[in-house]
Amino acid sequence: MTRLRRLPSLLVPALLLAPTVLLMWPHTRALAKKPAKAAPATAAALPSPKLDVKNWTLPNGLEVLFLAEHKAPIATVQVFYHVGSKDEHIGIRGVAHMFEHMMFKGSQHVPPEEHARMLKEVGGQVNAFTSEDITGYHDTVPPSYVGFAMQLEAERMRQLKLMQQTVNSERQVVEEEKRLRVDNDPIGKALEKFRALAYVKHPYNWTPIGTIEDLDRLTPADCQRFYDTYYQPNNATLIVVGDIDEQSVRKLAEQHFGPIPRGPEPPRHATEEPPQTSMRSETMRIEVQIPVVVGGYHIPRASDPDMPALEVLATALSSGESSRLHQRLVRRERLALAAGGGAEALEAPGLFIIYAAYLPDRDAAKVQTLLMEEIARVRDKAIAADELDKAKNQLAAGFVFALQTVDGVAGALGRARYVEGDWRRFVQGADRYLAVTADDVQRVARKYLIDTNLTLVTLAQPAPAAAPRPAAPAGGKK
Amino acid sequence: MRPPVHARGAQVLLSAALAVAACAGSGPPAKPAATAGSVDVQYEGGASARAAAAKPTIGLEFWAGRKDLIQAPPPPKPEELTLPKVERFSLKNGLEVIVVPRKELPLVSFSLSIEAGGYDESRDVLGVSDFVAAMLRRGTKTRSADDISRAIDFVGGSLDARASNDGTTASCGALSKDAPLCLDLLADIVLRPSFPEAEMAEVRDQMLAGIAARFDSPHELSMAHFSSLLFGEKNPEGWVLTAEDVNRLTRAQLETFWRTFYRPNRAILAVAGDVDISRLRAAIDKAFGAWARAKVPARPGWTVPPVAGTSILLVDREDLTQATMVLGHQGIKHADPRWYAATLANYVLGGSDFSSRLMIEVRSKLGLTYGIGSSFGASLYEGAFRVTASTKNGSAWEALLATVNQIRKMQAAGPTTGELDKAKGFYAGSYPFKLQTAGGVAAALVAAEQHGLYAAYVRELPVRLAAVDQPKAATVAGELLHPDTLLVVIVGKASAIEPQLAGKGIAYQRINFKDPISAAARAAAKAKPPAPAPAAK
Repeated sequence: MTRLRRLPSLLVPALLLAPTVLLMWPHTRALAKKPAKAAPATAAALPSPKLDVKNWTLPNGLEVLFLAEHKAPIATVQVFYHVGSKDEHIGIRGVAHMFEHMMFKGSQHVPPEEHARMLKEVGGQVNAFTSEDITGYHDTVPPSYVGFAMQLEAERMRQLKLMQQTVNSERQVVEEEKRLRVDNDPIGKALEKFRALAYVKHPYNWTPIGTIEDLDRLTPADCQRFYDTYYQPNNATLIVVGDIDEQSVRKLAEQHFGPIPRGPEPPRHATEEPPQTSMRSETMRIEVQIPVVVGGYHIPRASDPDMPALEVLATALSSGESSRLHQRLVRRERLALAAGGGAEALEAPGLFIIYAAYLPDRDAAKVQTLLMEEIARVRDKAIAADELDKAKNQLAAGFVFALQTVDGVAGALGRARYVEGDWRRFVQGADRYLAVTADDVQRVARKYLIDTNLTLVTLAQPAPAAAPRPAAPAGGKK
Repeated sequence: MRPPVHARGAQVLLSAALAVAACAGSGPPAKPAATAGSVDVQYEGGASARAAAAKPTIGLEFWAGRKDLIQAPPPPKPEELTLPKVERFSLKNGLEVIVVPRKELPLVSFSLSIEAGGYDESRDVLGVSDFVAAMLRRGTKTRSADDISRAIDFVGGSLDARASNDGTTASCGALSKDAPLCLDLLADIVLRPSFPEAEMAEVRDQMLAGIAARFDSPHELSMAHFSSLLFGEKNPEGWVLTAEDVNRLTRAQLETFWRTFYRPNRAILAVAGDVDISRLRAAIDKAFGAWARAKVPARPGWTVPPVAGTSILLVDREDLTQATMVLGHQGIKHADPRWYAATLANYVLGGSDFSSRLMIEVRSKLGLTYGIGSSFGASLYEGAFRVTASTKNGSAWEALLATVNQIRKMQAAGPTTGELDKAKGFYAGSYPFKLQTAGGVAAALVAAEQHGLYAAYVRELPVRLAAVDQPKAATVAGELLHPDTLLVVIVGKASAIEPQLAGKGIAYQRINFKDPISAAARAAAKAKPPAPAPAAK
């Protein structure tokens, strides 16, 4: 711990790609390790493991997804609500996430925080997260407690007790979380700015953590309205993965969630982000040891047919040390410490992100130029056949690695259900990359990775010619 | 779905998460007894009760006395874990091999743990184990760095090597069809690294960046200061890597360290996943059989100097909106027989998220923090007890006070029987979670082995914890917690924090966030004695 052996610059990609916020920090970054999507290997194509997911819907509209997985005595019970920060508006920015906290602050039959405490005492692990599109609650428990976890989840689905005192004390906690994640973290600050610049109209303009000014104004009535609008069985999916059989899950789900009446259908935002017509760029000058440049191009929503090609493109650009951005910026030119990117899969149109982090004594303009040159290269020329194969193999292996834990699988199913609009996208994920050709990759690069569609934020030190940092390398230059 | 984060990045994240999870925070009040920068502090009893009274309480009346509340079912019974069948054998050169077969997924992982880490460095080559680990992938006798990257990336696998104080772990994970490639690459980078001079600059940059980034992370910075203060200059745990250390290292030093400490008789290879045991044995023999055993210098072992009285180090960064705190004192070895009681007491104090006393007091009741937690590190040698937390600059004192009083309470009486039962229930139920992957089982077995605890520890942990009774837990909490001799590091906006300390008549030492981490280095940098603590009036 003392010696700081790790490379914090590698945190950059994760922060970029995982803008969700969680109830508890201990699990936060572990969860940011999102499973890669599937793809069958090409060179020696292996069939992806088949997942026999069961799916049914209760009369009140609650969807259920179940996968039996008997390799260890554990099971996960997750409830995903189809609501996130994009369902907010200015004035209540941060309510979705604040709400995720309030779900632990007491309901009719469960005093504040007893939900987490009781599950913990039977060996359970409890957490929750809020993203732009979804809010998820997970309880991972020994299999004999699946019914208990469902009982608790069903109870708080409609019987939350929102009180002024709990709203006030939890508001302070949430504001501390924002200070921790955003205000005290240079990259957090840069990402907040980046979103604000990239989106002028759509609620992706802000991040799930929201703003202190809006949080300060939230009332229990605001929370109640939000709860009644979105926390309804017909706006939720129950996901169970683990060491339990289907009949038990059917029975328990019916017993605990069945009695909840169907609610009104929640409204959906119709806000569309207007097409970007010129490049946006801003430099933030704050005290930072590792400067960063982050760029993003608008891309379509996660369910769009262009997404598989964009994901293959992102993989070729940034997955592994043989990837294009790493090879050029880190290896050949010795300018960056890390360089990469990814295609954000969001329910509404997201961003194709690229970034580089570098030591302060390197030429920032050159770093940016090289990033742009690499983007131009994928526009101008199709990627080579072996590069395409490699990307597909990486996506295929990543999918299998993601199947190792029950909560990983459940989370991926839940995200596919709401972010991509269909849980089958996760199960059948492998096929989507198989058909991608080098021409497809070039086509999407030409369509989306263009300068007029780009937002760039540079995080740099206040005075470029300031005194050298104590940690600036004396002998590290090439 | 998020786009894939490549394996190495993901691993870093996980480590970061674990590092953060180990934190907690707290504070002291009391009267100044100024020595050069630190003070002995006595705490006022009942102060946290007053602090709590000043805040809105939760409003529990609604639930009080109700008969219709949902009750938790009884906790699971602690029992021995049934581990998957494990194969063990050793090669003629002393390399131990542990195989955990599991067929459900077509995956395999090889993880080679070598006792060659920070504990094996001398002070003048601080960082050499990290540098060596980072160079392994940078070239072998027959492969260049880019050859290695292309080979592992093409199959979508991961190949990595990392050093800690305990040792270095080099690992490769891939689809099981690529097991031969994994084994070949892993053996090649560990047995035949070429340490190309031309690759050293890039690795150096990465290490320097890690050091520089410490100053962007209040948490990392506070932990570095804490370790330096607690362990001191005579214990490798107290050595904080600096740019000068990194810039000083030479290729010859890397090679010497590798040649001396990378030996099969000091290594364990763990293989987990979908493997064919019969063929595997021959393949491992072929890959690692030629690795020559050698006598390796023994580690002297280290202890922690006792803390003499509470002191506060205030690390000032004016643009911080939050005070990040770490406080604590010496801990115990992982192999200490009191480990089980300490684990349970710590679970109750600050090791259990919402269930912990610290979380209930400081987050739930006072709303002062997003997260607070405590830990006894599972250290090979005597480690540390740490509490970490963050709070608004303006409430640093209040959070600290509440924390110290919880430590005091635990030290005085230990956990209650009810709390102890809940802690045991948690470990009984959750323990199998960690072992749900074959890799998890293999890693647990290797760690137990290296800490002198053996496989029985992994199987029996829930049962051993269940055997701790309340008097035992109270005795151990009383022995191991020291609420009156705490080292406290606060990284935050000093101009907002100082008035709180001053108001309470506390003395402390204030430094700038970019000052060197160790007191000796600060003194040397200033070429004059450090300024006496600006003790509050």
